[in-house]
Amino acid sequence: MIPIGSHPVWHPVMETLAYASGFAVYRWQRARQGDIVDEPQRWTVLAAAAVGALVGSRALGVAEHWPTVQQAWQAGRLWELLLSPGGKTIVGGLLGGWLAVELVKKLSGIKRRTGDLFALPLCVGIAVGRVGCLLAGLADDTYGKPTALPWAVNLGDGIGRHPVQVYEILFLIALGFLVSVKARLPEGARFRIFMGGYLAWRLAIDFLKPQPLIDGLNLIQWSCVAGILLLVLDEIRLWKGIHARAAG
Amino acid sequence: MRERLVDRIPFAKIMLVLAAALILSLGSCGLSFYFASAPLRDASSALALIGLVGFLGSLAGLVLTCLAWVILAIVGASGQKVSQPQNLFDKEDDTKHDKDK
Repeated sequence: MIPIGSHPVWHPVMETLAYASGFAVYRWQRARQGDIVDEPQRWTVLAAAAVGALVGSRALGVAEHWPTVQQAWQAGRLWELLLSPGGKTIVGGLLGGWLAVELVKKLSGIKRRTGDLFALPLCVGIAVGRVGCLLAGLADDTYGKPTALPWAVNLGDGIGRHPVQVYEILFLIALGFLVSVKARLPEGARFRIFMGGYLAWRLAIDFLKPQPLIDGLNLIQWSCVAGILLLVLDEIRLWKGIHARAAG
Repeated sequence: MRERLVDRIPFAKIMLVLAAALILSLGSCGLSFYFASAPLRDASSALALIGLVGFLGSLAGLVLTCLAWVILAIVGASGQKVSQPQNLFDKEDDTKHDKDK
């Protein structure tokens, strides 16, 4: 069993580093590859992504703690719902950010697929953030189920657990290489690979987390299912468009 | 041509910064809730205050910036339509008129 000297203060520290590193990678990538949209449009997309991610991550984070929310609501302690319970969820942030960008693109008439530049920065940002989740230990709700495997981690309670955060970091490194492959891919493909890959990963890895289940899956897994369905529908719509253009 | 107010103010950048501040302050508020039950009460109250000020400030800023952006975009769009120069006579009519001469 590997002991982890966990403390919750690591979470906001690493979270800040995650945003900073993700943004740095985005800027480096944009400077190296260029952009398919002009600067004001890119900033609009970035702002939509940030606000959508904020709302989505918090909404799913609160929804995960629904009984506590109900109690606070019934007791009239509504202000508590702003700050507590629960934190933010990555899946909620990704889905919220994606939907917000699509909405803003529709409103402002941006037709290009703008997500490719976000794929690698998201891999880097989430991986850095997951270090914070691991070091925050049991105070963070992302720890794994007990296991007797030799690489089990002890987060302070003396129980060996799956280091699910480390599994995810390793997966994100692989996904990061995949989305930065130099092959010529259609516009938006890298982002769709990232989203599909990450949502499928979370759908699988969350079986190793002790979370309350609804019909066999936890709330984050159900959100992953919804996100994958949206991606599939988007892919079908794209193929239909390509075939219609080819036929026309 | 004079640039519109909505184009001069970097609303997207402001919103991005405020959203990041809100996300981070939300994290520190959660942390202070945790510390409240630990022996670090003094540190937790200072952190809670900073977190709360950051949270309320960035939340209010985000809402106000969003409102200002939408209002100025609407006003700017309608103002642009009104201030467009109007052609009193069609070019076709002008040429026709010239031919008649």
